[in-house]
Amino acid sequence: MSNSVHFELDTSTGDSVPPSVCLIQYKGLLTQEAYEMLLERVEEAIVQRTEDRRPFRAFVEALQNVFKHGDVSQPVSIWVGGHTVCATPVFRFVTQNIVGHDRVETLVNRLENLEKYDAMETRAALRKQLEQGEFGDRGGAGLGLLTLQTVAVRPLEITLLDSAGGKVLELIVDVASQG
Amino acid sequence: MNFSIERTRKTPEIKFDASTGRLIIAGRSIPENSIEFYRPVIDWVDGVVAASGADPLRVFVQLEYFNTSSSKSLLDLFKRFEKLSAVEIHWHYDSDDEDMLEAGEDYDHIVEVPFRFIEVEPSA
Repeated sequence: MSNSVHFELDTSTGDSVPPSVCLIQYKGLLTQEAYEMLLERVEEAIVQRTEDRRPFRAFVEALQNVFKHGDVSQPVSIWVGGHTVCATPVFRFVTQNIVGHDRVETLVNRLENLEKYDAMETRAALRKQLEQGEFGDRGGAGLGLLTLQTVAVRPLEITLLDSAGGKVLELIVDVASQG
Repeated sequence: MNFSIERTRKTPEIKFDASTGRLIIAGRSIPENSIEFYRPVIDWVDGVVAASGADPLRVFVQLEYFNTSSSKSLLDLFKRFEKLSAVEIHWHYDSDDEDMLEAGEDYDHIVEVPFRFIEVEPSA
């Protein structure tokens, strides 16, 4: 299934999608060491460009979504870059990871719900999940995706692709600074 | 009964000074397993609740970042404060940080403990 996104590119204001500027790219196994390195490097890359905390918070959610819920015995892809939307500088995070067979159905249900929500409904769903969602030691309850949706400048772009290793979840998040 | 956890790159400092009744949670909270990190804190709060439900407690939340896993653990912590008779949560947020203000408002909505929102100038 696909949560495709459509938006008009306003060339009069200098939008540039694509090309995007790549800040950091990682392909390989997401070991604890690689995870720590990515957190550190991406924080450096973002903080150099904005003092606002929203983009790094979003990256933490996107990365932890892969680390906690993806099949990290398989290689993952993490891409961090920037571009502009309506002349606003935007950080883009792209993650790709294999999803375990046992998680596909849950994930599909969550994505279908996400597609239905407008901004206010997303916020309400986030609060409801925080209050009522069941968490395990890996987090969960769909709060990560809801959190990303509340801070993204446009709907999350989420695609489930078939591959030899199983279903691949591709997540694209565009986040701008606040204000 | 003082309590102290030092801050790390991914976890906040959590300090309670029994002489002032101030509990401070400051820094960032982005551990992969927040349940494990917050378990001793929650156990400690359970002890406080059992021992002296009447002593005033002021909780100062001064977080830069917290992940969704921590958000649930913080809720578990705040829910325990409902059992105390005199508790107040001071939720600090940078004036340019709408996300942190909204997160505090979510807790204020869910938890039956008085919240005070403290706007501060962004740190350098």
